[in-house]
Amino acid sequence: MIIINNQPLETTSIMEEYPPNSIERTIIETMSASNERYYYNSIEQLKFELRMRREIINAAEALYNSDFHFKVFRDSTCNPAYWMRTNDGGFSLQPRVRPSDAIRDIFTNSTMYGTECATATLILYYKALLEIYPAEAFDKIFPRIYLMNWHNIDRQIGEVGMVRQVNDFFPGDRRYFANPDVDPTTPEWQGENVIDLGNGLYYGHGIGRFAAPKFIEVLNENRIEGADESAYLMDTAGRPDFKRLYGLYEKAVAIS
Amino acid sequence: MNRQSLSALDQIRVRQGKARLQKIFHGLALRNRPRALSYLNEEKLQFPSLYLLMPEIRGLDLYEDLNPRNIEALKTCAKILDDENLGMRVGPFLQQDNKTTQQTLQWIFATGAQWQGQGKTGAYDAVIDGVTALLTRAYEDKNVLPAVADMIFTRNRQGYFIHDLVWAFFQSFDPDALKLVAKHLLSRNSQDVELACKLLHLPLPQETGRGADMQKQYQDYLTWLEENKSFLYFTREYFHLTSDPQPVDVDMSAKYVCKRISPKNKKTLEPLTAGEQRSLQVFEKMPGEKQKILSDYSYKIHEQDLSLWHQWIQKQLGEQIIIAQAELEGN
Repeated sequence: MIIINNQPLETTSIMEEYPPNSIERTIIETMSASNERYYYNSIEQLKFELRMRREIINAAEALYNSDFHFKVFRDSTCNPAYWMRTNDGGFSLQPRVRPSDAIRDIFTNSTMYGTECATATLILYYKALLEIYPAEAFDKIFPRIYLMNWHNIDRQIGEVGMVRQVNDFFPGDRRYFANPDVDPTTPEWQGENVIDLGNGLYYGHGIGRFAAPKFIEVLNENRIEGADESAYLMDTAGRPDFKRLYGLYEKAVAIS
Repeated sequence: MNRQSLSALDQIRVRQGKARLQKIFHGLALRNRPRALSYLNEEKLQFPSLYLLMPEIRGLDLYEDLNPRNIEALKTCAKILDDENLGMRVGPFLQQDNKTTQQTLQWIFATGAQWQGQGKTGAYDAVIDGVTALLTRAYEDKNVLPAVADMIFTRNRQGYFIHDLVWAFFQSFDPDALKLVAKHLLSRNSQDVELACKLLHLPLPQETGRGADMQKQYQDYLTWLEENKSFLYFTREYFHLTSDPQPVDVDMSAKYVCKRISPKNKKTLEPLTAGEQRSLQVFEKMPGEKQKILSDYSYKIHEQDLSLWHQWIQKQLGEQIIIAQAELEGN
């Protein structure tokens, strides 16, 4: 059930704002049918979450269609015009570079970049926000971006690094395929961070854009000799704090 | 290190560096191949020298005359570095198939883990991390854990990549290994303390009074570990999944019935009686805070008075909670 300003939402009118079979409709339908209560202060706050989930998926599709490489941290690569590669294999913004330009560059000069699935997923959140926030606001809100899996994430989107058990899953969620019996010599296959694209599909950097069985099959191919436990999709999700990000958005729009 | 105890090749590496080692070895192998091979096959050779001479071994095609240890070491490198050409020359790496493999991994770790000549982001480091994971996971070698823990904290101070090594460390599924991390809570280095807190899933101490806080946190942690060691399991939450991993957790069901579990897969190591199974069915439907009260109390009286525990555990759960709450509040 969706609760807006302490009132249950009658979803007909908001549903009509989105095309049939759209991920926005899927999300609203799932929330409405759920035993969980999804609270929002305003309809705009809900729409912001829908927009951001859409943009996370768009960013995932864009990265999938780019030449962004899969590399383990030791071999990670970035465009030195925008990013400094740190000793641990992460990327830190170069001085006097606009964060918005640096994030865009990952998608425009994708062939210069390579990292593993968690960092790639973190990049998707920044790209999604860049599509929503005015660039100036984005630069002010995220002046020091550091990209290295879920390590030292900017506090404004710190929640994307957490996962928790949830009752409902939505397109735009971060999910995780765990591989408990991974080959010890290939720890990069210990699991795959993915974005739920809706319609049963997931995007995970390094594997691609597939339904769940394919992710499990690929992970299972990288198990220890004599493995007896299959890879599986965990019942957890990682989500940004959409409400806080909406608050920042409201402020940014009011100023601009 | 006593340089007199080093092999001839190690002495050149330590005194003159990588380039000289490669050049001298190359020249020697061209002039006197058997002697070059005897140096390479020396028992006290250290792994870094073998690693640095891999291009020469390849260029001079010395594979067939290497001793089994060196062949196994190169198989390991080929596997970890995904080097197909090398793998084709030395053969496939097979885990757990013979003693030579395990001994070779131990040799690589013992003689190569501390070497920092290649920096900490290169292929060499990947080999060491891979070997560590093979030892802890495939060979369940717990002897390496103290050195692995120290390597994690050393690398962290230097800002180098630690996530694979942390993962390899926890792949030991050894609750005692947590003590090796906990001791860093007492470090004077704030990076050590922060990392120890992160790995043990403990809150960071306040800046003021940090020393006293950490001493208390360390003691509290050891007490907690001692109390829960038999009921701990490894969650397999690592940095790859989350920024706030909780690598180990307490199985409250096991603690409630005071039955040890496997830290690796959470299975009970002692059979449950029919009565315990019935109790657990009800217990596991209870809210988390009630489970905690019951399991803490159960463990406490089990340690203190076994006959009292038998009386208590056979009561209805509602009655058990009343007794547990009264006792715990009374304390």
